Amino acid sequence: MSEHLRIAVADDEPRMREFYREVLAQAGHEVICAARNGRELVEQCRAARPHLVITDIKMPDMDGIDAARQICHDEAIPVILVSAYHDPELLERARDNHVLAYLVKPIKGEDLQPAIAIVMSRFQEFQSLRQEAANLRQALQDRKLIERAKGILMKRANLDEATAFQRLQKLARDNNRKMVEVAEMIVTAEQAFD
Amino acid sequence: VLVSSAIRDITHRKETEEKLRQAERLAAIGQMVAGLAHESRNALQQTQACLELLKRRLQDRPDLLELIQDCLAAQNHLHHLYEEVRGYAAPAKLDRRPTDLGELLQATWEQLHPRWKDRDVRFTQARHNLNLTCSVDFHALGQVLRNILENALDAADDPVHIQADWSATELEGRPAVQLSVRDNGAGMTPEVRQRIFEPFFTTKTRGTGLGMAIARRIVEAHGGRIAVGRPPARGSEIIITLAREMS
Repeated sequence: MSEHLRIAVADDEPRMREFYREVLAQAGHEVICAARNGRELVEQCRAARPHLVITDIKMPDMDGIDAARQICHDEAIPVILVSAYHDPELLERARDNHVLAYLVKPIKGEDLQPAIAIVMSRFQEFQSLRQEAANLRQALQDRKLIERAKGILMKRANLDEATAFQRLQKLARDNNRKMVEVAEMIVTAEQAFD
Repeated sequence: VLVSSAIRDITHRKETEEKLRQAERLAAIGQMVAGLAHESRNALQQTQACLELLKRRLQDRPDLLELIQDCLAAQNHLHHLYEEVRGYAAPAKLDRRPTDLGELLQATWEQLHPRWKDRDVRFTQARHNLNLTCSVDFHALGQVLRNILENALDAADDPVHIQADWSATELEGRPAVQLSVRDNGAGMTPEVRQRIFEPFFTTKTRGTGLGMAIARRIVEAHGGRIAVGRPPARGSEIIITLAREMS
């Protein structure tokens, strides 16, 4: 069974909004807002924080692609575009941001469920890859800082590399801090003497 | 003699001008039809949404549900027709990449699974160890193969046997591959053989008559050829010839 999702939809046709409400409720989800245009969608998403956005492209005021861009600026939310048009210019604009699917009208109620399932699992994969990349980036930065602190110790205290490293470890242990924190202090202290 | 050749010149020029005008008119009609088919999607979406909503409200009225089901089927058919017309009228823009045509044919057959799963059907493909990689538009050529296979499925009664056979050949002096798709149906009448690639010509009650016209358009856009095979003892045969590389 698929999870219960809080979904924001947007379409300038009232019947389409009604259609989404019923079809998505039937599939066990909840439409937490149904906007008439892009601007409403952005405002309502800001307040309601949905798990997923399903939006038409051509709407008055602001189109669905611009709305998606603004929504994802604050926080990554997966987006499904639903449009009668698929000219190259629209596809190019849809390519960036968090647009994970592009359905061409007319869609059937039964088309939505597989699209949603695929989009949500892809989005989770993206999120975990993004997290992994952020962790690795942090680890690399920490490593650089520790190397610098070790270099300072080797120079100032005239230590060999292994001993400098052991001293960093001991300092961290004795002061009950992470090694990267101790390294940062040493690098900052070193700057005071420059 | 001079006068008659001058008259011939004028006649020739007038014919050329008329042909040009005709071509321009056809191009304009094509553009209009493509635009119309495109714009119809919003209206079709509206009826689709309303019919589905109506269906939900009438769950306890099977007599009315049946009417809605028929509307949905008709709407589906209209959508299909519009998309085919649009595909036929829109200019063919090809995105050509090296593609193994044998794999494409097999994948297309698998996609048609809903069409043959409840029937007694056999599909065989003879590659003869040929290299079937050609520079083609994957989606467009997939549509050609689908249209041919669908026709074969429609043409033959169970047990159906569709045979695909590959061979190496030449097309205008260039190395090419040839595919023959043959079914074990009743075969084509002389009229069908002659008119099969005409737009809106169909022998099916529910067909759009565009499938093979689109197939020809796509194959010719690839610089290839599509033809009906010589009448065998039984069944129909379609033959496609494609050059390995772009000209």
